[in-house]
Amino acid sequence: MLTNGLGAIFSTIIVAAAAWGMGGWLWRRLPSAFSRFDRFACAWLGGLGLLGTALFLIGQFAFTRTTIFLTLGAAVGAAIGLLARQGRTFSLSIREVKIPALPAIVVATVLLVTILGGFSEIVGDWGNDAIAYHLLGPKVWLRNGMVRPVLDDFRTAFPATSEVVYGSLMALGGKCAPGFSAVLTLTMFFLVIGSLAARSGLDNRGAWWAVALVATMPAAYFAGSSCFVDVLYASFVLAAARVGLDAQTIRDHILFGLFCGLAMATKYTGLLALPLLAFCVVLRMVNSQHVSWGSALQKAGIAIAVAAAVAAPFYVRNWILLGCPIYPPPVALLRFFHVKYVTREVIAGFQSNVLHHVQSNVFLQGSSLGRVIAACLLLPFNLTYHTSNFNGAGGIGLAPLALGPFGLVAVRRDSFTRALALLALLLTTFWFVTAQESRYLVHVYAIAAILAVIGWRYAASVAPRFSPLLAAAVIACSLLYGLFVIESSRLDDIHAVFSKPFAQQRRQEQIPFFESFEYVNRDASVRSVLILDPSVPPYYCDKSYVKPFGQWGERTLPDEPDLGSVLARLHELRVSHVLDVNSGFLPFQLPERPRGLRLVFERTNQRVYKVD
Amino acid sequence: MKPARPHPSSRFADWLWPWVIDLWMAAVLVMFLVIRVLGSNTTRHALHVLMSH
Repeated sequence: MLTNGLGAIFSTIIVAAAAWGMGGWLWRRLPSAFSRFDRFACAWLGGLGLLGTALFLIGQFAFTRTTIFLTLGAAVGAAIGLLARQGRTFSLSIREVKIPALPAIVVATVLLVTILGGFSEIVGDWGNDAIAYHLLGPKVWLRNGMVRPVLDDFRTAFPATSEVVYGSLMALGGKCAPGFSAVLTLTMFFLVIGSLAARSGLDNRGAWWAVALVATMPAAYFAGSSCFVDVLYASFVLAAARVGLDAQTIRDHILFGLFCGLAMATKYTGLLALPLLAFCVVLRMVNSQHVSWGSALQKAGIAIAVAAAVAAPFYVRNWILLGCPIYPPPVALLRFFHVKYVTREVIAGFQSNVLHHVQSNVFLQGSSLGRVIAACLLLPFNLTYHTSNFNGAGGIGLAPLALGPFGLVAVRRDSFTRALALLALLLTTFWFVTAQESRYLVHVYAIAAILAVIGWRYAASVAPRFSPLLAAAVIACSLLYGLFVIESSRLDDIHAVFSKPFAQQRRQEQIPFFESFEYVNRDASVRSVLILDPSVPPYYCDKSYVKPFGQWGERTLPDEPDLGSVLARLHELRVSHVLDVNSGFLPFQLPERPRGLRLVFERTNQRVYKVD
Repeated sequence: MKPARPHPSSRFADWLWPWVIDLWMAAVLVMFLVIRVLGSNTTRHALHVLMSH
């Protein structure tokens, strides 16, 4: 545990320093009205995005420990240079961060839980996205020395700013490092929210109350811990809003485009956020800064071009290798692109799951709200009280519903916050008609928390008799309930850090076919494994593997052979062993005594054969 | 010169609006108590245990 823990801490510190090295040049280029704190928050976050993009580009040619060390080393060197030149400014901006006691305690508690839980190993089955693809990709890329989509799970072809950083963290600090790095991404997220809250008219105290509210939103917390990428994506969208809504010069708009591009390079939903962000920025320029429509559209065009250029590596790579920039493509795009390794039916099934969470095949779970007007109107109520509707996302606390509406009343004459609220409304509408997954809406929750604190102030001044007490009760319920949910959900992780027997028991219970993976990883004669069942998560296999049939129906081998043809080609595939399981989803694929294979390991529902 | 008297409807709004704010917050809190606390599995289980004794 100690080695894993030290590795995780060391690698996260290196990545944090490298992010600063990559983003330091943004410091002076951010809009002139930005405070030192704003510059620090945006430059550090932008640096992490640029670091991920640079590693992705380099990884197309070589994603080895050497190239990762050299890239991070150069970025850390740049950070040291910046610190030497701007050390005083930097220390002043750190000193500028004065957090009031109560929010500080809340945020520190959440970060402490993240640190302690981050030392534990992430375990789970194929239903856990971290295991299924966020960590599978980086592990395979490191083993193969190159960043390429892992064909047995097409989600490894998603934009991968976070995942390449996870790969670097794994290379530096071992398998626990990506989970531990949540403390870094959550910190960056909180800083951006603080910056946005301060710009929305809150004083230092109010801004940090907004941060504390977001920190204790289980829906936001779970989207930023355990190797999910949604919090980093949300941070880029919020930073884009922070820069874009105050942008005046061409340079400001280039930086706005940079953050939009980083959001697109982190998650496909960035493609939907870009036009909404650009629309709100144009509207604010025309309405509040009295810029002509022509000039505003021209600046927005520049921002969109920059965003496209920043995100291009991820999309162009997919186009070249897989036949479509967005992979897997929406069904509508199949008319224009010839995609590889997936059939139309597979794509339709996946799209159906994303859009409706319908049970169109056995892999899927969860349910959507539906898209009727009543469901839309009830959304604030459902997000607050019926959190299990969103795959058990955990809720956002009471404050947005109880105080947010008054925040909207209070900011009705402030054009910046009005534009921010409009952005939140548009993002929510797009979310409602596309993928209704709670964690895709984290940036809106952050804006809702800011409005809630503004509403708190407003209510206390307009209705001074009872509302201070009621608002305090609302805030206390939100914070305490959120902390309770977050901490109880991470108790097992923390227990596993301090108890080796419990950690081992948890691995046995939560890693599917644990004994077979132990055998395969330990036995020196195993060189490459053929995995037959689509539900087996190959993340746990430390040796190279071939998985002809993916979780969603991907066909990874040329000519898309059936099982019989695959077994006839074992020597051609260069596999030394075959893993066959009775998963409950599919029975054993091989007969009792398969020809050319020798049973070398057997446990309940799992068999490993050696190829003769 | 005397200050102009506010319009009666404005006075009514000034009186009503604080009550709207208070009632809204109170309603959100009550619903939280009913749905998330009293309606939670833990409370239901505790009530079931108490009733069975």
